[in-house]
This record gives sequence, structure tokens and C-alpha cells, in this order.
Amino acid sequence: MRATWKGSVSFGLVSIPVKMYSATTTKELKFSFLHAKDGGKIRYRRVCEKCNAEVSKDEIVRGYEVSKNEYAVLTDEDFEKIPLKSVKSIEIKQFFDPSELNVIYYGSFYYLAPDKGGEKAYFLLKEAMKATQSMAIGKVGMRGREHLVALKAFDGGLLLAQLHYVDEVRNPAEVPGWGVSVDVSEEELELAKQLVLAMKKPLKLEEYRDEYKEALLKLIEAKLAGKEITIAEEVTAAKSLMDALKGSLEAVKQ
Amino acid sequence: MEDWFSRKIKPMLAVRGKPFSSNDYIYEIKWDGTRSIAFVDVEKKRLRLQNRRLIEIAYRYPELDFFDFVSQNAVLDGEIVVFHKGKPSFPLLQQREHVDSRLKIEILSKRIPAVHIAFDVLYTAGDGWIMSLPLIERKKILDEIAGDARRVTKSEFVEEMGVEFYRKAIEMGLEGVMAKRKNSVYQPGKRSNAWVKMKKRKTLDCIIVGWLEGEGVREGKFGSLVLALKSDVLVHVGQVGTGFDMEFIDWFHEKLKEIEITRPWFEAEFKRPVHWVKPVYVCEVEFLEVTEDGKLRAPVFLRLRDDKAWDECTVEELYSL
Repeated sequence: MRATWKGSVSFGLVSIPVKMYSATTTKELKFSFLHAKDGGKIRYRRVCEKCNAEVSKDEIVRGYEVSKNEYAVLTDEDFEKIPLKSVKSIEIKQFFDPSELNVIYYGSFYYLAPDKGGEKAYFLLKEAMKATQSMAIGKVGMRGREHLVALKAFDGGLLLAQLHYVDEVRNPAEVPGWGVSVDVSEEELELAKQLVLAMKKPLKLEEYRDEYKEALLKLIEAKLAGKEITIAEEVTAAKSLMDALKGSLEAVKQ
Repeated sequence: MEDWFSRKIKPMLAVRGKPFSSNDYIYEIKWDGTRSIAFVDVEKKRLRLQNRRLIEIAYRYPELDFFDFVSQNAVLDGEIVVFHKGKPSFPLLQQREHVDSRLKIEILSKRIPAVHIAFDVLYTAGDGWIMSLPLIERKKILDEIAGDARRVTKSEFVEEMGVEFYRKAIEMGLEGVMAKRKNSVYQPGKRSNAWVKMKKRKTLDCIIVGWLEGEGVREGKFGSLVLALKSDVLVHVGQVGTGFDMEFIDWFHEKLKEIEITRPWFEAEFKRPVHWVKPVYVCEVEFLEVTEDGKLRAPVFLRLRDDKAWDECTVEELYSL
């Protein structure tokens, strides 16, 4: 596994060198776009809508659309004026009780491992959080954003969850039909509960697989089976090379 | 006692040398591929393949039929090679090296099958560890235990006629020849003068420390790679801008972006904007000569070397050319 980030976790006066690894992978199938006629790869060009010219990277600035067609333009220099704090360090702001953090705020997960010299402090932090049943919340600058993250002792290590800020989570009350309450009879509720209990069993997540993907993979394999051209040779190639060489040496000897 | 199957072994390495003939040496083809030590457990049908950096790579080569190759449990040193038109092919081997999806590995193992060429045996169930036996004895044992497999074979050798063997090998378009002293023991991890590699082309493994922005068809990608070798600091040895295909550029550009850093490794004048990267990737380049100021003249990219750690690429290698 390759670390996606290297830095430190700091709280109080302690700074623990850590490495971060993605905890999950997407096993989605990636398709490339090809030209149907000749199978050529489709490339994207950056073209200016105004003058139709192709534009290179250093000719591009970033604009924030304030209203229709009205942009506030920001250059690299502008971005440098607001430096991201805590780029190399996850600054722990507080500890809290895990039940206080609603699942809706969880984003992607990462594993944090101690980097050289950080083993002891890492272990202590993990054990202390476990013993006090606490999670930590902190901030870290990454890929041009200031991220909110939570740390949790998890299966022999520390799990880092990237969190959504409160204002990023939409209010469900804006969803039509949300929160309506209807009059139901005791019997109806009882029947529904029985149905739920009848289908309730211990969760075995591994039983659930992406069947659509599996079907797609089969389809891909079938497509390839029709034209399975082996382009490399096997040991006969190595053997005939060695034989030819030895043979030509015999000729030299004579 | 440590289990033979899980032992980690750093492969023995060779020094560079000029072609010579000697009765004390055997000569074999220098197979250019990925060095790998195979731990073959024919009883339990287990296989470990370990590269130079002690990384496990067996999952990448499900087609290698080691269980058909040896008649008893054994540890074999050898090279994984992909053959194309009768000769080892770097570009095809490279296509096998950077794949992690199991489905793709499965497909590629059928389309671009690799071959393991065993040239040494370090352990057998019958004799135990035999690294301290003379090479010529180990070769005999290899002969005894090796059978016929589709994708594993043993490296044949000749005696005495090193210079002729080298000349013929080069004529046939091969990279070079290995000379190995008959009475030498196997020294794990050592670069020993008991093993001598004799190559025609001048090649060097360099650390990729940056890239220059491309122009024209390579706009938005890298145009060339900045190369360095390790000393107390990283020493600049030049740029390589040829030898890669577009597919590699697309793929590798993404990899380089992941390890970009802002701090320059050294001061140098570049014709294009430079981006620096962490020392992670090693590439083998061919070149004409080393200039007086220690740069490679006309380097051509040959391949990435997954099996070599960046800190193994030292300036000493440049001076030992």
C-alpha cells in the first residue's frame, strides 16, 4: 500500500509523525471513451468558447461565477495570499463522545499509521482514546481545501474520517414528503413490525456483491474470448534462443 | 528454526565487466526482465515470488507453472521475462508490472504470458539450504530437479568460451552475457565479482526526481524526465525525453502528479518549466556516453524498474561504467 499523505497529528505540545492510507477502494469498472469508427482514444481539448483557440494550462485562470456570465477572477497569486493553515499537520481541536457525531457527517475513510519515530506517541493516543471512549476532531489542509477530520481508535490502529462541515449537509426538511405523520392502527403497526422481525438476521456484509459489475465482467471476458490473441511466446522461445547460441558455438569450435 | 518458505532473500548481484574467457567460469545469457526468487512448495501447492526489493509479486503472474517445473520443494533464483518474436521484450514486460486489478492480471496472463528462467537453486527439500555449495554443484542439482513446464525453464550455460559466447549473443540481438565463477557460493544481497555482467549497450538505472512540461502532442503531460543519482545529495545526470509511448506517458504522468513536491532537488537550467517529485521511481536508460560534467549523452528511456529501490541508484554506478 502506498501512503496518500504524510504529515503529523498534533495536540497540545505533542506532534506524532503519521502516514495516511486510503481505507477503501472503488472497484468500479472504468471505461475509456473510444471513437466507434476506428477505436481511437477520445482526447479532451481545452478550447476557449469566445475565440475558439486551444488554450494551454498557463493561459488559464480560475473564475468564480457570481451571477450569469459575471466572474470574479482569481490568479495563482491571489490564492497564495490566503495560505492554507495546517498543511502538514492534523491539528486536534477537541475530543468528544462518539455518539455525538451523526453518521451523515462521515465522508471518506483513511487509515493512519505511525511514521518513523512516532510509534510510541501514536500508541499512547490510540490507547487513551480507546480507554476514554473518545474520538478526536481536527483540521488539515489538503488539495487546496481545509478539511474537517475525525480520528477513532479502530482495529489496532487509528481511523481517520473526513467529515462534512455542517453547512454541507442539506436540510432534509426541504425534501418533499419528509417528516409527514399518518394515522395508523395498532394492528397495522404490529403487522409491519412482524414483517421486519421475520426478515431480521445477523448481518453478513460479504454476502452482498455487486452483481451488475459481475455481469459486466463476464460480458468483457466473453468479448475478449473471441479474439484472444497471445502476443508473447512461452519457454520454447527461451529454449530455441539457448539452442541457437550453443549451436553457433559448436560451429566456432570446429 | 525459520521456515524455508517464508525466508526473505536479497538476490546476489553482479559487477560490470568486459568480455573474457576463462576455464573457471560458466557463461549464460543475461536475461533482461524482473529478477525474482521463487519459493516453490510442490507438496502444499504454495508459491512465493519475491523481487529484488523483497516485495511479493506472485499474484501478478498466475500463469507461471512452477509446480510442473520442479519435482520437489525448492527455492530458485531467476528472471521473469516476456518473449516477443523470439526475444525478451521490455515494453511487454512493463505491461505486466503495473497491474493490480485481478481481472486484468487474469486477461494479461493469457495475452502476454511471462516466462521464469531459473538460473540458480538455493534450497531443495532433499538437500536443505545449499547457498554455500559451489555454483557448479548447484547447477547440477538444478538439472536434477528441473522438469518440463510451459512457462518455467532453466538457463543453459556454456563453459570456457566467454568471448565467443558474448559475440554470438550480441549478434543475435541479446543484451549481454553473465559470467559466473564455478566455485562461487551464493552471497545474498552482495554485489560480488564472482558474477560479472557483460553488456553491449551502456545503460544506467536512474532516479526520477522531476519532469519538464511537454509541448505539442505532449502538451499537458511531461516532455522529459529529470534524472538523478544518489550521493550525499541527489546528483543531476540529465533528462530523458525519448523512448516512451503515448500510453505510458498518459499513465505515468498521473503517477508523477501524485508525488509532486515544491522544493527543488538542485539548481539547474531547464528549457521548459520543471516539476519536482519525490524519489520513488527508478528507470533504466540507455545512453551514448557520460559527458565531462557527469551528464548522460543522448539517453533513451528503456523501462521503469519496479524491482529496484531508488537509493540503490548511486553515483558509484556511474563511475563504474
